[in-house]
Amino acid sequence: MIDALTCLAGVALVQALGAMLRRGTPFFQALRSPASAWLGIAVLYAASLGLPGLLLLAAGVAAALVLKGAADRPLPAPMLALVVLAVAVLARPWVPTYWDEFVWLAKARLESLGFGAGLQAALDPAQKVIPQGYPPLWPAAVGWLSLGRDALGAHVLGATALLLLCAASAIEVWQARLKTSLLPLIAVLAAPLVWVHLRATYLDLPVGLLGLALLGHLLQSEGRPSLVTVAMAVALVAIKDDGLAHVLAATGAALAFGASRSWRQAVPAVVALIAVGLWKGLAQQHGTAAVDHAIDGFAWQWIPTLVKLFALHATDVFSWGGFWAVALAALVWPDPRLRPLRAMIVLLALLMAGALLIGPERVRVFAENGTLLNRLLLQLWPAAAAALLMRAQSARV
Amino acid sequence: MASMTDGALQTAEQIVLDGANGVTSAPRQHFPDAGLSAGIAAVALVIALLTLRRRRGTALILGALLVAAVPGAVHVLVMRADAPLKRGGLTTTVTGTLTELQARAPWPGAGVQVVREDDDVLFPLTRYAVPTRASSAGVMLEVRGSALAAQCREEAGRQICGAGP
Repeated sequence: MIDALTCLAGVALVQALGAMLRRGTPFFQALRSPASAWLGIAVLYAASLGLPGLLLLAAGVAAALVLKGAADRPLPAPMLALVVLAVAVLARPWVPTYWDEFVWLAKARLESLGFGAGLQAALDPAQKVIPQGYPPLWPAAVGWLSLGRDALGAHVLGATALLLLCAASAIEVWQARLKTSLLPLIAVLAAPLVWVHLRATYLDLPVGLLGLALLGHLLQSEGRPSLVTVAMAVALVAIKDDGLAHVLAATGAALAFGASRSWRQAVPAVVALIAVGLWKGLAQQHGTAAVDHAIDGFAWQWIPTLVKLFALHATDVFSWGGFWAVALAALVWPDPRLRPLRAMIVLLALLMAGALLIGPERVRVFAENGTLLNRLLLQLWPAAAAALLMRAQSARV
Repeated sequence: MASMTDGALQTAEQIVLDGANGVTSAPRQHFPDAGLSAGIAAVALVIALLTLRRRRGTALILGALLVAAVPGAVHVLVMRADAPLKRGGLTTTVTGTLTELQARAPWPGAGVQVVREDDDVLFPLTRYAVPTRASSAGVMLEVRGSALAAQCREEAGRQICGAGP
């Protein structure tokens, strides 16, 4: 019970911080918007970086000036849907059970030593934190949401709160575009591996959901993305290196097929790139760069294997049912409303494939051993599910 | 086709290793039923392409999606070691192992050096118990074998956890 209350307080504090920073939006209106939390999280991340974080804050301030006058109209979150989702996700023992969960939550424990301690440890090669050089925000944010409480239940709840925040942010911004009935909603959720990850503390599904939220915000921005959009882009790249692919894909899709093609649509991506450079630079400087994500030539001869592996994973009926086959059919449908989502999925798939081909051999071994590609498909799932819902909506099911 | 139990993740160790990589161990085993799965997907794709434009066809496809999820649902909800009715037992195993590790190698109170780790199963739990590693140790920890529910003992000044030799 104390773990739950602690996390509730942590989420409330971060949400309130974000709501206070949401310029031009009444506080209580911003407080009801799940997306506000990303402003709080992004500012805390910059603060945890210490002096170098000032550069990120300066980039954020510059972005705010460039985007001055951006329309920021938070929608009231659909509370019933979020409560049902939260109950379904939280109704499990608050104990990790999968490999990466322990590793991510281990890093969250470091925040119990003090604000920013996890980040400092990640930059200290002597402490041998693994995986080395990975972006530090997710475990740090878990530690912040659990208010530094060093307890397994608090860490699981903190990570679950982040997952729910990603889902709520996506639902909030897409709810108007995806008015749906129950059957399509249940059908797109009929992917058993998604159920596993909804009740876990892995990063892939949250990153996919946050990427979808980012695209939604860019599409409704009328050429001037809000500061929340910038914060989401920063959070994406600070959570996972793959987040950069989501930022680039969402930006590319919005620029190509959104209502506005203003250069300001790229501002969130520029600030995100500064955040990437900052973290990579710090890791390089301290000798803790991520070897898994280093560039190591181009394994063009592996392309057929990659295509085969993606097909094998996507058609695995136990993990995905028939989801990807039907999603593919929906995506190739010539419906103009699907263009942004289609572009995002295609760009994401290409960027992910590119990363696998230019990365070190070790990453391709992971893929061949079955520990990687389903995770990438989970990152693609939210956008594909949104496309399928949109397609079903067009058929008025 | 192989039976439903083939590739099922039925032990705590299998769940720790592969529980998030797929609903079954198919990805690890290089998809032994790939032909059948590809066939189902191809049929679903063709039918979806032919029927998605019609209202009734879309309802049919969405219904088919629900049916196609049944084999995976049986694994997730019944067969896997983390299925809802089995999750309590899995939780007991995991927390028991973590408690034992944390009791023997208290972090951050004591500097802990992990001098031996045999396998991928206990590795992540040890990471949670000891997130950072000390270069000179107050506690020397060995983690042996590949089974959870590890009991620990002290030998020659080392804390030895696990069932391995």
